[in-house]
Amino acid sequence: MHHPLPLDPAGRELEKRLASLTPAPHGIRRDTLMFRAGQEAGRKQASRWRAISAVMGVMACASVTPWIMRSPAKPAPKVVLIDDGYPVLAGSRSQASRQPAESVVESLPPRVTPAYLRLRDQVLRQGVDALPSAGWAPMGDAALVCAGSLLPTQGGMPPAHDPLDEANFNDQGKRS
Amino acid sequence: MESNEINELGRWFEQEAGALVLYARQWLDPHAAEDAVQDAFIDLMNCRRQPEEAKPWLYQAVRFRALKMLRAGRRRIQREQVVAKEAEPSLEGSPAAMLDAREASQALAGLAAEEREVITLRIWGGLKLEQIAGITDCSVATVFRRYQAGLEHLRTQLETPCTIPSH
Repeated sequence: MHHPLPLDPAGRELEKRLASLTPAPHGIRRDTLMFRAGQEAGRKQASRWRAISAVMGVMACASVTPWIMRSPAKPAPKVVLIDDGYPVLAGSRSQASRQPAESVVESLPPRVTPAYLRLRDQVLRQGVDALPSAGWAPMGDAALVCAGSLLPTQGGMPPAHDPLDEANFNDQGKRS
Repeated sequence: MESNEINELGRWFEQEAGALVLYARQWLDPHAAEDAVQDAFIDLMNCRRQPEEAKPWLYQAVRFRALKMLRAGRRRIQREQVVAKEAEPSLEGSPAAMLDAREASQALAGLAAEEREVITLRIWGGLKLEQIAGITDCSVATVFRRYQAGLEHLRTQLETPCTIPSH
């Protein structure tokens, strides 16, 4: 004992006598202990890898499941532009939207009316001067047909008033 | 596990296994005590961070294991413990021994549990009072008081002349 305690001489003597005895021999074998320790270490390592792979598996499932479960995408509504011969002005901002359609949806009802056909023939004969100069609104059936053919999703309503387009349109008409 | 860790563990095993088994035998029969000690060594080996002081750590681990095992099968172990106490002395004498091992074992077994624990840790475990206080979770003064009282009781028992029971 490194630090003697403040005991009376009898106590100190008894301490010494007791310390002369040793613990009874035990049955633990060192090799067995080492073997068990190795087994435990291996088990611990294996369980760590098992836990890691389980977590990764769960993560993989979690990332793949929404992709599998996703409902088939709804077909996007096709915007169909019918090339109806309506004049498109060069440099007009709406020119891009007036590109000829690649495909035509059969279900759209044809909107070509006699009034429109008359207007078209006039324009073909006389140029853009044949177009009414009062703008879009009071054109009646023909205007509606034009607007409807350009913007079928608006259900035949005339397009929003575009002053720039209108100005270009009028300039072009005067020049020609 | 690295080789120096194995060597270190082997050293602790050689030095402390006997005292640890003696310590565990306060609560358990010899075989269960050996199991508790083995488990404590395995715990030490698999510790992620090695304890600063391995020796008190080992005693504390054995105590924890032994008390857990005791709680798990208190009745069965107590019955076995009584048999074991009678059959095998927990101490062994040498030619140079100044006490009879069997008598000392019996006297030790007759002490109060707290006194026996402190005496075992101090005399055969070679621990400081502070370390014992840490293991038993009480103050150093309490440990010293128990130690003194235990020694006194042992002396009384060991100095009492043997009486032959008359039939």
